[in-house]
Amino acid sequence: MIKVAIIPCYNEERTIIDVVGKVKRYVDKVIVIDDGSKDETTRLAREAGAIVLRHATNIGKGGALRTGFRAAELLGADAIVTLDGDGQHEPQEIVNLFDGLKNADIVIGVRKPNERMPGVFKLGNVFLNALFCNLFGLRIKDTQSGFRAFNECYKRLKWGSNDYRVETEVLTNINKYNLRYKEIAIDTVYNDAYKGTTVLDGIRIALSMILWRLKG
Amino acid sequence: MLLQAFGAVFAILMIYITYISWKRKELKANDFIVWGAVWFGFGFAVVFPEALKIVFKPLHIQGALWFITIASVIFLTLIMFYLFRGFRKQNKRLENLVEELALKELDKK
Repeated sequence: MIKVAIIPCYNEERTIIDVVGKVKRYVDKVIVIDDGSKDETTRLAREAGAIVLRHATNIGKGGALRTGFRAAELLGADAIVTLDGDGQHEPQEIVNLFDGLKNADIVIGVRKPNERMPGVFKLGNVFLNALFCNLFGLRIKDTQSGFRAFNECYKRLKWGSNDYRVETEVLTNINKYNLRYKEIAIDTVYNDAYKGTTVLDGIRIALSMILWRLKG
Repeated sequence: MLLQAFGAVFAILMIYITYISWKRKELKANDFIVWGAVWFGFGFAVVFPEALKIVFKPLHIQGALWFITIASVIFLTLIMFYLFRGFRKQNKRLENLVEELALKELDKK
């Protein structure tokens, strides 16, 4: 069974060596998608031992994940794990996520309550999770988590979002393909309060959820 | 009178720019025809506002100013839609290109 890690990155030169170095221990191959970084992310990730695919220009996390999923398929991956390049996810938890795939198609890492998580993020997550539950009938505790594992079902997943909406849109595939999902509590480390989703992204995610629901 | 002269000069200038753009192959022949007609219509409406009364009556439009305002809003909305559609199309092409180029790196390995 070939296990592959997909790490979408944008300007992560501070953390990428450490992340790739640790992730390598738990998977067969590490694919880093450098989404048009302006720093040394590509060079450093390559030196750390990852297969680096570079986007010529910044497309967004959704686009980077799409490239990563297609690359994993070309490499013959049987199971994949996605995590962020900023070091907010603990690579040793990859083992638990893959273990969860024994009786699920998708394993979602649910972030434990963290004092360093900005209050507006906490509130936004509660709102988005509740909205997702109401619209799609799935009680998922952390719809915005990027730390997930997928079995071969990853080959069927489709999404059009290029930005942070991808996390939610991927979950809409659960109903579409009748997939089994499981949630596992994970730790998170917040290194940079200015990266990641913003309030504006939250509003876009909420509006898109309604649109996806209407589209069926 | 001054406003009419200004409008006429503006229309002629725009027809000239459109013609040059077509000659430089920046515009296609049908683009040139559409835009040429737009500027000619604008110039005609400014110079001969009375002639438009034939059109105004059946459409219940009160005057030239009303007509230009309504026509401008419709035209701008149309242009916005056209640009939006073009932008989305180009964006999709760019995404596909960037993803394909990235995946080509995998073939080399």
